[in-house]
Amino acid sequence: MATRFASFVKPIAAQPGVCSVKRPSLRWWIDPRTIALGLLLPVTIVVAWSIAVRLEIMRPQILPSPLTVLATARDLFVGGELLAALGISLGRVVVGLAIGSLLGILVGIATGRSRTIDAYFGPTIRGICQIPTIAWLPFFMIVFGIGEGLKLALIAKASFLPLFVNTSAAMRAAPERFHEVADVLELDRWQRLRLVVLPAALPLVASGFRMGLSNAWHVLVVVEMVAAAAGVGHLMAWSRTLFQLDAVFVTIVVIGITGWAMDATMRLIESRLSPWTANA
Amino acid sequence: MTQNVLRTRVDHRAFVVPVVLLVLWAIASSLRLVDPHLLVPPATVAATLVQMLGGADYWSAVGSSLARVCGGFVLGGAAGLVVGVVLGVSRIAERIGAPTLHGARSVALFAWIPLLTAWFGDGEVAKVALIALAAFFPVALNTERGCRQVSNALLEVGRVLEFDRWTTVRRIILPAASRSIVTGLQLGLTTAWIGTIGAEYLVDQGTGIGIALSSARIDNRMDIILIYMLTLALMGLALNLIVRRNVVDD
Repeated sequence: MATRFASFVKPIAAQPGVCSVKRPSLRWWIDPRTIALGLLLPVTIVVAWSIAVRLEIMRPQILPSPLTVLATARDLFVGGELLAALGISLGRVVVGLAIGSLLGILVGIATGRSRTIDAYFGPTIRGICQIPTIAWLPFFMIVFGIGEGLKLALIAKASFLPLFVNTSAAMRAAPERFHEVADVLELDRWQRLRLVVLPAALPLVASGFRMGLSNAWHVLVVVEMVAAAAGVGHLMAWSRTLFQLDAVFVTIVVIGITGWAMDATMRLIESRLSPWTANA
Repeated sequence: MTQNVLRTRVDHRAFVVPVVLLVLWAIASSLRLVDPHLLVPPATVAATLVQMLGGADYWSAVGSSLARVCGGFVLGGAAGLVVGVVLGVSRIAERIGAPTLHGARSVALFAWIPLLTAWFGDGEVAKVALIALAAFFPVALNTERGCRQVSNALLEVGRVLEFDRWTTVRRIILPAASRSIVTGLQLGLTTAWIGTIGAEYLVDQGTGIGIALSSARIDNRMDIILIYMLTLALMGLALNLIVRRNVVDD
């Protein structure tokens, strides 16, 4: 009996408000006019940049020519330096994010499920989270030194907050009447969790995870610039110290593309996990 | 209304955990369980706090950071408003500008620092430029979204009244988009504040909270670090209150 109705409970419990199932279409990407217009500004910038280099408006040390940047990009790529640095950075993000999001989800579940726990621990945690992650850097540097522990602690801290906040809210995301339906259907604890609480919580937790990933990537770049012997941020800071701005340009683009790719992947996963809130 | 919200928020249970932590901290440091450089006794922190509050350095650091965040926020916010309105109002501008804007936004904020310091030096300009950049993106994106989502019914009213483009923007689009624009400005202020601390920490010339944190780290002064972190927590709380108050008033 319960299972027959369960398939009916699920989609209702899942959608708090909007129910627009809109698949992101690929037409937008393929339309040549859109691509041409989108490329107009970057191409103009590169042309203006080349002219500025040709006229030597800025010293070539400060503004290397686009061709130099391209050649450097090829060298760094073919030489394997770039991919090695990227691999190290991504490895740090994965481990730090795993620690931070696990803690965030656990604490979020505890504070979300129990108002008492929330009343005791919530304000302290939220208060501590008011401190920008960057300001934790000197504290962690003294506590953990400048080894791997520092990077993981900082990334974990950066990704903790969005997961904690969203999971805590997610635990209360299922409206009261869905619980009433669950009561009527006499769902047991496990079924209620699987069919009512989790579907309502999933979209929020997923978007918290996406924010956590983005925070983690941002803060990793900083900590690698300040205290690291490897990684993309270190490659960038080191190139800057040597005044090789061509390599700095390359790393900025790589950081941008990586950040974008991670965000796009997470959005895709999010829309797969909870198609009923697509485009939220 | 606001007072009620504040009153119901204060719950004595909120103070239990901080007090317990404080007591544990005091016990641990008095028993010398941990290296006193790592875990400075609360008494030392309190003494340093009194000393710092009486001196000029602390206040000039806080003041410089506040001045910087204001300057950067005004510059970046204004640029963000202009770009956001242009992209939100004109379809063709959106198709030309939006891909570049979204591409640039994908770059982690502090990754611009090496470039900015190379171009503008290690002084004030690079810091304010980074703060402006931090404020720019949320303001531009939210303004753009708000302007694009103005309902057709409102725009048709403008057409019936034969408003020209500028009047349409001023009388119809901006008021209709104001909620989204305010959200963008609030987000922009928050990111500008984070940008300020980061810019100061990474470009440590002059005075400011980030710079003070950086030099306290070099001197291994955990007490000073803790005091500035507490300061940042309080300032973040104040920032949140300002931002929330506006939402309530809205």
